[in-house]
Amino acid sequence: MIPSVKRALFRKFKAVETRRHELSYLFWECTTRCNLDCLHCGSDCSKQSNYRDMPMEDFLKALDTIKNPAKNLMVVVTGGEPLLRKDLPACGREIRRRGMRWSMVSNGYFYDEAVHNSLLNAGLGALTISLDGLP
Amino acid sequence: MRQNWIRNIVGGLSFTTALFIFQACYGTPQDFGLDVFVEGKVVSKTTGEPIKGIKVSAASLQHTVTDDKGMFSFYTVKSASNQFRRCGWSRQRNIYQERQPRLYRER
Repeated sequence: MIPSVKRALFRKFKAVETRRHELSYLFWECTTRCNLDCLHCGSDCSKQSNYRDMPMEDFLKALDTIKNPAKNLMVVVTGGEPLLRKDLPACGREIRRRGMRWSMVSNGYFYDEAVHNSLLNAGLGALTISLDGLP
Repeated sequence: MRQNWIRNIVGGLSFTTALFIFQACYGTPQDFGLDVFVEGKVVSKTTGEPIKGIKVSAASLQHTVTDDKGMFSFYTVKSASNQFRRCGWSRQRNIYQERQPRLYRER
């Protein structure tokens, strides 16, 4: 009896979630450049990337196509190494201006007090420093 | 019965490890939204002209500098009593005044 109720509730939950299909986590690979070349890394990024970084304006245009963004929509800025972009604080401010939150995944190589200050000022909400392998 | 317990524990640990690795590589911790947006303008008390290059700080580490129009803005930790300080002009403090910074709470 209980398993069948659980199954029915789960089906209902799944149907609601499928109908809403709310975007709550959006990854932006803001650059394919990286200062490191870690063996374990699954990303296609490299020190000599041939691809230009996506211009901030293009990304913001893409963000603006999201109709009724979720209340807690989080934009995770990743790469490559995001700190190779000089306009990262400006990107962060624009994300926040649109009512979204943003966070970053970095290898921490360029992370110092000045960078910390400028990113906090730009509304950085969470940060992951990846230390899971040797370069 | 005992094997089921062991399987559950091992399975749970593996799942937790996988989640942890995924977060470490690709995700970030939860952002609880405990910050506010602050903006303001620094002007001369005597002339009312905006002043460029004034360092404004709210928390111990965080600070920003006013632009050409005397404007500053930043996100900072939400607190019951946010206090704002200006730095670099302490000897001439009586000359300058700050407009009350405005706090915006996001939705």
